[in-house]
Amino acid sequence: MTQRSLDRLVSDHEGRIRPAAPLVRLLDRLVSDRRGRIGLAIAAFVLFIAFWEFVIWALRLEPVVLPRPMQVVQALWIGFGTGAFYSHLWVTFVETTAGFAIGAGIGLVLGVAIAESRILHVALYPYLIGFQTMPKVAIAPLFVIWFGFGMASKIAIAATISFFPVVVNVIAGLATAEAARVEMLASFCASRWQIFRMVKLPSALPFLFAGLDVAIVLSVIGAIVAEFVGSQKGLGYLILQYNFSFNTAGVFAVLIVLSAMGVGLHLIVQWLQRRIVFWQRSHERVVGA
Amino acid sequence: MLINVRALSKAYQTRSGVQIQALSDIDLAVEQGEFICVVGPSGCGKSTLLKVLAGLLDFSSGQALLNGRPITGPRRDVGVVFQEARLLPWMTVMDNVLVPARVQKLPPEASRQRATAFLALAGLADFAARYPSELSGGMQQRVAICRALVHDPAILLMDEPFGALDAMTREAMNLELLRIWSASEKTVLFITHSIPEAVFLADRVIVMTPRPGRIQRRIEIDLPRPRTLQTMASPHFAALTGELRAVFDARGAFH
Repeated sequence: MTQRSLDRLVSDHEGRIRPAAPLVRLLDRLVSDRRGRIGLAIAAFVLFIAFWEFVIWALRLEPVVLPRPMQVVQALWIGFGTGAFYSHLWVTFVETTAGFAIGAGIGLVLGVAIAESRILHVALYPYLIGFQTMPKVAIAPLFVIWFGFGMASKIAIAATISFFPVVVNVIAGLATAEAARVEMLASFCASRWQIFRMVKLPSALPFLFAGLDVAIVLSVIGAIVAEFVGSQKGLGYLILQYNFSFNTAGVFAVLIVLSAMGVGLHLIVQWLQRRIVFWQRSHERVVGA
Repeated sequence: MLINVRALSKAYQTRSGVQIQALSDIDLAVEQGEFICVVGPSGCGKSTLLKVLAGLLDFSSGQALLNGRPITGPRRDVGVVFQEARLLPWMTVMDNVLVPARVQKLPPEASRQRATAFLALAGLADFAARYPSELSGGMQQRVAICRALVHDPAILLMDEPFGALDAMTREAMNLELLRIWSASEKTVLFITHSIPEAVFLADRVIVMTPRPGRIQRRIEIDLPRPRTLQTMASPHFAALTGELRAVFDARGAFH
């Protein structure tokens, strides 16, 4: 907030220091306070909608190719108003979160095992890395054969896809535990388990959350792609239905619902991180792999 | 005798295969309640000696007994203070102090009372519920000292505990440490590279010199206790520090 009183100074082509142009000063002030930032975001949104309308008008696009913004809002209204969206949203939500929970849980346990056991590390880590490079959505058709057209195959894909960022981050996180802290605990006769519980696991938590944050977003993708391959319910199924009936506005509406769900889940993970890893300052946040 | 080290040597190989003699033929006998300072330039093996005594490093040859029993690993009758505070940022000050008690499964209520008493002694009574990041460097190191004392060890091993602090905080911490020591009757082995600090704190100063790390000199410090900041202004203090400096000058260790 202190920048508010400080106008930006720029040096001109002759090297003289002078105040920046009025527009630059105005924008600087806008981003320096909360209301200004919200205002800017709204302005950008309005500009985006205007550009959207302009493109439709200029290129004379049919609604099947690109619906007008109001038609998308209408589709959203109908979708929620008639209750058509709810059951599909619920199915995709359950697939995403159940898959995430299973994948993250297995990832956490296996990550700890691989990080703590040299034998498991040598035996499994190369395969883990090899398997990670494979595009997981490519297994989706196989999983439909194995687990059927219901929710199980979608949960399996979401779990497979959210497993990797968690396992890799847990292994990396456990390796970063400071040797100095481990030595401190050892000097007080701590057992291996005590060192793990009191130093290594807390040290790994920022990494675990970075992995969870990536995993929850990937989990949505996994569920949707699996629904594309074969399903009778879910937002992915709905997108296909709307696509077949040339209801492009409906497709857009479902995409918005999907994004909202993804953002919501991501915010929940971030909120949990702030609560649980409270000692970590924001500038030290680990960037997920 | 609380610490009894005879002909202790420690050698290790670097990655390039060079044999390094970190400690050579160390003899050390420390009585109950003594305050011993080990002083020497960096690389003289003084930290290695401390880690051997703490059971964190093994040694090549010789004999090392604590409380009459040979050192085979970390022990409950030892408390270690490291150069950095090494507090756990996810625990409150109180929980940090209680780490050794939790690790050694000591009775929680009694441990808590001891921790409270030590925190009060260190002037940190009001900070028990705070987190380490809210404390200054000097306060964090005092928490580390309380942690090293909470399981009531007979021996306190301190590895340049005030090395990272500024000169004024350091003097205050030295006074604080002497106060805590006289109240707790522990045996202290204190590593430092500061000659005035060693003279100010110790009953006896052990001078170590590098390559190979060996004990060069032992000097009795007969300055009266309790020692205050005035002690450092006395001619006898100056004479003792001068005598220690002469040891290093003769070795050329400062050049």
